[in-house]
Amino acid sequence: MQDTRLPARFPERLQELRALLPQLVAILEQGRTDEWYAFAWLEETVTLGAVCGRTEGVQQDTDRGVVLRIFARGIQYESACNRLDESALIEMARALRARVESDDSTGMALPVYKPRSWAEEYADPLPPELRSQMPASPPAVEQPVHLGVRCTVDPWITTADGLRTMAAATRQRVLAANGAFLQRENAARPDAEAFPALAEVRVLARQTVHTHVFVDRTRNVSQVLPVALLYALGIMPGGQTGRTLAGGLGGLEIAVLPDDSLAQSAEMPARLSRAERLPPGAYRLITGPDVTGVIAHEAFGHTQEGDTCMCGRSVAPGLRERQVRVGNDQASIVNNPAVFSMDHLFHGPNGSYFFDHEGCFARVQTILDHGWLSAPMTNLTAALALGEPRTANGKRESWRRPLMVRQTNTYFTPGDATLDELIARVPSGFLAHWAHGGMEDPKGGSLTAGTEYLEEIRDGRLTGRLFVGPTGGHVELSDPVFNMLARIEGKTGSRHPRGIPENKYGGCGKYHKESVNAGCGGPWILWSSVTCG
Amino acid sequence: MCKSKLLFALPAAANSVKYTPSEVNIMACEIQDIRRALAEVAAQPGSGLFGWTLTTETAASHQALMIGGEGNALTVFQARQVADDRATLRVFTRQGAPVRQGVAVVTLDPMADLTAQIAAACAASRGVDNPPWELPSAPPAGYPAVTTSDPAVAADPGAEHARLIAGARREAARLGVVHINSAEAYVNFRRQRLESSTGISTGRALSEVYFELAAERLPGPNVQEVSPLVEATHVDGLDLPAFFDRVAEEAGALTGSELPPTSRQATIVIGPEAITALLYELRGQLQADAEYERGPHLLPGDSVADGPRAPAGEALTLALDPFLPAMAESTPYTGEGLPAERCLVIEDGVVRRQLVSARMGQYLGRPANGICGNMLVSLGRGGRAEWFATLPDVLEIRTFSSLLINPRTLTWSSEIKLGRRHRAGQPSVTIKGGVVSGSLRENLRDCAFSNRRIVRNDLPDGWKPSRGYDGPDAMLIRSGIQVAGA
Repeated sequence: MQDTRLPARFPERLQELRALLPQLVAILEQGRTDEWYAFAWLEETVTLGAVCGRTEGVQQDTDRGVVLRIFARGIQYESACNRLDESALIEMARALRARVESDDSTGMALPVYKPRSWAEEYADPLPPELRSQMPASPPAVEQPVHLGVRCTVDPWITTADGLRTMAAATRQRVLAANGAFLQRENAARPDAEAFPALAEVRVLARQTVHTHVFVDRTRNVSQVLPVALLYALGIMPGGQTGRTLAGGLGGLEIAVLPDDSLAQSAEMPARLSRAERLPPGAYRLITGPDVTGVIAHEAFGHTQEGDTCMCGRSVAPGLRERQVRVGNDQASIVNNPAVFSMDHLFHGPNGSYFFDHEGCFARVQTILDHGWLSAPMTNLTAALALGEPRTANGKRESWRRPLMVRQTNTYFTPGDATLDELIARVPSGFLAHWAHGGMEDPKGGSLTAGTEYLEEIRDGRLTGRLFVGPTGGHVELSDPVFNMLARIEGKTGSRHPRGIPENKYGGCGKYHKESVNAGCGGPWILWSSVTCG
Repeated sequence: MCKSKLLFALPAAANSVKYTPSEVNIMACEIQDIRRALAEVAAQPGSGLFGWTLTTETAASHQALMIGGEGNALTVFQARQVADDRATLRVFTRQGAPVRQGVAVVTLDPMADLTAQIAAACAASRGVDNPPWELPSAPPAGYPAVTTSDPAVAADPGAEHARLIAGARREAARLGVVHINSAEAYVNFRRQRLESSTGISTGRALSEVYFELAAERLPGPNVQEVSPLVEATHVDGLDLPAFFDRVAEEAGALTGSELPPTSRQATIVIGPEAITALLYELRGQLQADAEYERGPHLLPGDSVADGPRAPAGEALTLALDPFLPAMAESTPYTGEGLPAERCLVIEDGVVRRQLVSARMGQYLGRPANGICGNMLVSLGRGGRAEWFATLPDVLEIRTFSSLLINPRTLTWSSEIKLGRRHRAGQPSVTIKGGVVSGSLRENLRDCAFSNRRIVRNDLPDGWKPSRGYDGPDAMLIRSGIQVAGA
């Protein structure tokens, strides 16, 4: 079936600013291109949001900034600002160049960088969604090329008031579903055992549209990435919560919560208020896409970030060099920034883009292949330092922050089982559906990932019993990465033609901060044993 | 060409804040443009504009990413300078009968028409449904004088950043027992101003200094590293010599590790980072907002522990102080513009005061207050050495991998990134891995605080708010702790 959705438009208001960027690049590197490499990055993030609960509010936020970079003598020098008039930007470019010329520092011992031409990019296969929006033949250096996420609902017509209406209506639906639940569940219970009503329902409806322009001596490319989110949180008087959300990369058409999804906010908080406490220990476990994604992300995602490897902070380079196998045959993980559809869905997760923040085009990369480590993800510095290919993982929180190697969408490749088949293989264990954070340890090779609660499985069936953590909070899953990756017993399949499983709306920090979008997903996975506490 | 201009920089310093002369900015005209646009919208029929607050900020940031080399030489490979101006307008509208109040927050776009943006914000606000409340007025006595930033950072953040890197290089070079893998150094300076339709006009300056290090013991190769960070409002506040000593000590201890034993009732000792994070969430339940939202909350007279205190347990005493010089939560005013107040909020484990904003005070029918600021926790009687020597089995958690605290249930859980197991009469061993979980209000039934004081700051980022802490450097917890391990 032909896709009739249109790519999100480049905003007219940024055209003049875009036209200035080649001039800025020329100021930065003219006469020094044999030694230096420069680029200009323009970023605009327009966020509209509404929160409805016992208190309400709406938000309209426009954040716009320019980053100028000169790569010289092994140092990435950058200046960034949001004073975007022509004279201020030209002054910033001149000042940055003067700063680089007057600085006598020497950075890392890195070779001079020569960027790829359009012709070279075209010769290296690009993902279908990128290729379909690019000119048929390599464009001229100065020709602007625009790539936009395909949307049904034009993201540029969204209003804060419209989002408020969406949030308020969703809140009413959750409250009504909670009322129906109480009527149903409490009918046969004595008053003392009746579930109380939700204390509060808070709903967030938000749309963020990221517009990026990258200009260097070889290209002038732009992308528009709308991200939509509808999130509902039910809260009990005792503080137990349940959440449901819909969203990812696309217009508001993807921010839809079907009725059957509302139980997670309307009913689960009450059920969790009566949940049993899990004795700490190791259990047979099935993780859903949400939790599986966190494990993939933390397991060999962060460990395969090139700058972490470059700084000697990852266990991965040594293992790869010594050809040590770190997982079983089912342990395959990819990082894929070019996810624009997945499983049965016509949209991608919020971790996708067409090119990274250093202008490198998105291509899928295997980082763990049947237990064997592949090349790491890189940015420009890490690629040069490690002598590895560049990948589209140069990314920053915003124009205000430094650029690092960051993951996009990291997921285990699918298997061939169904979820029912996996459950049937569990004589005694649990199912973990909803993620609750996670943390990497790239050097130590340990892993921790949280889940909101566990559902009991006995004799191959879900029993309906719920368990929270040993002291009443979330459940933390933790084990050495190698142990975990050797304990994969089965994975569910994917309906996507290229085998891309569902990736959820997610985010990621690095080391201690630096928050970025990152899709989080994968198949359902059965693990023979995971430490839970 | 682009029609944006240098908008939103700050006017002259507020009278109550100790600015240096270099902070005085001449761009007050931009604020006047916004005021003029607000007046235009207010005059439009049906705008509903009832009030507004305007927060403007001008910030400068110097950032460096470094890699460690031979002799722990720190080489910069990314060097950034950032200039950031922004203006955030909050418009309040009133509409309908009975009267409802809307609020819309808009970050003003300097490339778009101001009046149109404000009118759009009012239109969005008119759909928002809240009970009405009055905005606070300017305090007749003005705001208290508070030193909120470091004069040296204010005068030249770039020079202080260079001094930070030079200091770090000196300290790194003297460490012979560890190899430094990487480091990050940031110095930020921010000037903020708050104005309102009710006559509030004040401001403050904030300085932020951040240093992060990753290191491993020598000789290598290793499969473990430590990666601590330290934050302060001035470079000397980082106390780099002590920080590097800690790095050396912790990295040197990475000599093989064990999993902790699984336990349904463990005894642990946590450090000041974890105490800060836990008490910050406890303090959240003192906010009147928590009561209004009908979730878990604490009122004056409530015990912070959820049961009787153990005979040997010590009680928590917590004060909030916004007037401590140049700490992370030092401020002359609250987010609404109320004058900041210092207050003892928890005494001997019992809540004494609730934190009541102007809005929540009106909603709940009680007086508002400006209680806020850095957390001051009373010292206890013991200390790590005594605990480790006398208790039969203690897990000392030096670093959590990711301490996640539920702000509503106050339950928490994390993998142990680095710890030590102390058993009386036996050598202590390094602990890594396993999961420790707790429930703070259960923990407060049987806990003790060290008698050694520490002052620390958490700077705000995407993951945590500003948090200032002045209190015990360790907390012993004997109740409500479970461990999943070997």
